[in-house]
Amino acid sequence: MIEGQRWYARLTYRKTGRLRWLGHLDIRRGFERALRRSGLPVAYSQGYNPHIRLTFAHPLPVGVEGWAELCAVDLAREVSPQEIGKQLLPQLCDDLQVTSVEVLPRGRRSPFADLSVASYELVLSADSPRGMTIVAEAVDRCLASEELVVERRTKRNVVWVDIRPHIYTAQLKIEDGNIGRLVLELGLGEKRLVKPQEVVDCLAPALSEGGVRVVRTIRTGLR
Amino acid sequence: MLPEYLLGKVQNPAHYIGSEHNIVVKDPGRVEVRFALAYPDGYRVGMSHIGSRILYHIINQRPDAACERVFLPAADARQLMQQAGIKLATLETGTPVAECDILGITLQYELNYTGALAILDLSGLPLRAAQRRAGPLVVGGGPCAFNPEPVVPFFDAFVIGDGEEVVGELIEVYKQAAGRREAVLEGWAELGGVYVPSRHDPGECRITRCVVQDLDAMPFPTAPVVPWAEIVHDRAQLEIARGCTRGCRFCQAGIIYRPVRERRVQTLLQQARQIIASTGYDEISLLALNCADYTQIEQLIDALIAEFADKRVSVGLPSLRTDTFSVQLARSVARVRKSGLTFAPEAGSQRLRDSINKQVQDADLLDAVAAAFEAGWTTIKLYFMVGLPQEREEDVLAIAGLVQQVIEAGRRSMGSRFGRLQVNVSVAGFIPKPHTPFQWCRQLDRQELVARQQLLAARMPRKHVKLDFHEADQTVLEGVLARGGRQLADVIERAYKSGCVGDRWQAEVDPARWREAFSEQGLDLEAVAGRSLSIDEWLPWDHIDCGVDREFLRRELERSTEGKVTPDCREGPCLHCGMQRLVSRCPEVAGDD
Ligand code: SF4
Repeated sequence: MIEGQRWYARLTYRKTGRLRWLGHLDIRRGFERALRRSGLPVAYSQGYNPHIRLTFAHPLPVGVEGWAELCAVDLAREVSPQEIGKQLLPQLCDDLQVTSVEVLPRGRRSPFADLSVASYELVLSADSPRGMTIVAEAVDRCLASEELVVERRTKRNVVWVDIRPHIYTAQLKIEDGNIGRLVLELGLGEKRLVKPQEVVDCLAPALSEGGVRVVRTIRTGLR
Repeated sequence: MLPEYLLGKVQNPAHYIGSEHNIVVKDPGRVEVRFALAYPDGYRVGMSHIGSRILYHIINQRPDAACERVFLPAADARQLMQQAGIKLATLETGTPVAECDILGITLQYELNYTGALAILDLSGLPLRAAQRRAGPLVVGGGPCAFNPEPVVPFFDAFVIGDGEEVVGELIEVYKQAAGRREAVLEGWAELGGVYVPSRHDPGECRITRCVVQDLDAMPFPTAPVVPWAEIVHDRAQLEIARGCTRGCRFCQAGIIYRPVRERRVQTLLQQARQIIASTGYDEISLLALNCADYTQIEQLIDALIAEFADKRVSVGLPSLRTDTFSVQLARSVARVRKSGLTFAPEAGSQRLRDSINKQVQDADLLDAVAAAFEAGWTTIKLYFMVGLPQEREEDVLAIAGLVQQVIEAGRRSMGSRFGRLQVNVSVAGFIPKPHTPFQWCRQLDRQELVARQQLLAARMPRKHVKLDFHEADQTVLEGVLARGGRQLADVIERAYKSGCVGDRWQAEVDPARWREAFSEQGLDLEAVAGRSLSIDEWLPWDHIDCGVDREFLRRELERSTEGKVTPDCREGPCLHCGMQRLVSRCPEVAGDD
């Protein structure tokens, strides 16, 4: 062990069911309190109002499920992943639960600086099998197009962004005709970010023509 | 609890999902009584109410009963529910309120009366008790139950006073009567402290308040529900004492929670440990009408600091007195001085303070603020009232004078930090409340109230001061509802039906609609407010015995007009206010061993 080495726990967690309606700040508060209850030796910031050093990778919007979300908490000393799991799991619940723990040396960089791809699964429901086919064709057309320009509103102005380069995968898997799963792999980070809703917006004409609704949005992983 | 498909459409879905840490979910098939506990305001406010948390804990401790929470959905959610025909359901199990056995609604503020009607309406229950043949029996409680008359037609029963012990009796009777409405009501009417309007005639009955004799022995929630969403008081709460006998003559809490009862330091320390361990909160707030009056406050604070300093838990004292001792206390617990210190001199002049029995001298306030400035605070909050009985123009102006002196004190003791001084002055309008010495006094009508506000605003120093007045319309309405009789029920129902769902927090009070609701019943809101009541007139709340005698209140009113102060019975002799009838050792002061 290196002298003075600092450690952090990298937690993979899920946010599902009714708790997908929590906002990012709710999740953060929930984790902070769970960590405090757990009695684990977490590291606090300095100063008058010390807080747990807790970082989240690319927060999820309210209402979106996450199956393998990531956060990192700095530790005051090295603790085994088993120990962390044992103490933290009982403080969380089924719909907001840690699914794996790694303990890693803390470097200078943010633990999540290297993440570049988010994968999603959107569950679609159609009134008829034909509707689903219409959407599947539209997905293929999107992938085949050179550019896909979407509108983004910032506080002050509207900008136009081509999202096509950062849609790495888009595939509609049709199950039993009326239900489909749209699997997406989209860019992350300031320059490469594509939101699943933006892809849905590109498909809007086909969705309405085919009578297809998005019934569930899941972020299945980050890498 | 809202169904999934509505959650995506409301502004704060986290208020409607339940699933919080420490939630108590019981199998409905294994309990005999299902108790829905409703707060007639939103989740943020309702979850902050300690009384509801205490009852939730006590009921759920029983194996034969389940207590489930209900809050008033916000306007957007109410609209969606009505459109979709969705009924109000509990957060614990999503059970429709209409399927519960008892529905308790806490009445903390008069302006929540329409919120209580909204709870009934959204549950699909008829508003009037007389029209309900099925569904839960509806029980009101809380400070407003001390004058229940304006809302009597909507409730089956009211609990007057401390709920800890009587709630269990309500459940026992319900079980014995096997839930048969008439039999349950019959049984409840026999219990002390329970007012059952269909069994009790106000002219003939006398309902004596429930008083917990030994607060220290009462259960307290040591594993409270930890909300996901942010709420108003988002911290651990520790009730250190109940009641106050300082005897401010406008103050209802100072009468209806008598006598002072304290928990022991050891008990509190134990509860604090359990709460922190079970919630993960990083702040403990000490609750009492006045924390500095707790007999062993210094020992308690020292013990809490010793216990929690290295666990990064801070201690907060939300209610203090206007003196240097209180500043010392605040200083001992505050890590950061960012939130201001609050003092409530209530009146600007000594003469008026004597008449309301607020025993604070100008010098106390000035010493206290100087001590606060020296300790590093730069923000001071001051609470005052206008419209008090016997108030003259010079008393109102004296508020501005006192604020000026506070600023001068800052100039003297703050040195280079003086530029950062901020004095937040909050001015409420006097409201005569039932069971207080001022219950007979008149309240200013809207115009008079606004005139006094303007008078004060014109003289208030501008620099370093932020002046804030309570809304005049709201004050008048609150007063009229507070002292109203049964005839106001029709007004409240009309106001609710015309869309006034009083949400005190968001001040969604629509004065025009309320005024209309009054005039439709042939009443003039302003005229009712401006009435003074005569000493020998029968008051709508005279059948509710709060423990303090009417004769004591009358004597206090008289002393007020004579400018005489009455000392706190904890410091001087017993005044025989009436509580000695209900409490054997009065006042009880907890000795710690
Ligand atoms: S009975 Fe006496 S001691 Fe008790 S509250 Fe009243 S005045 Fe105080």
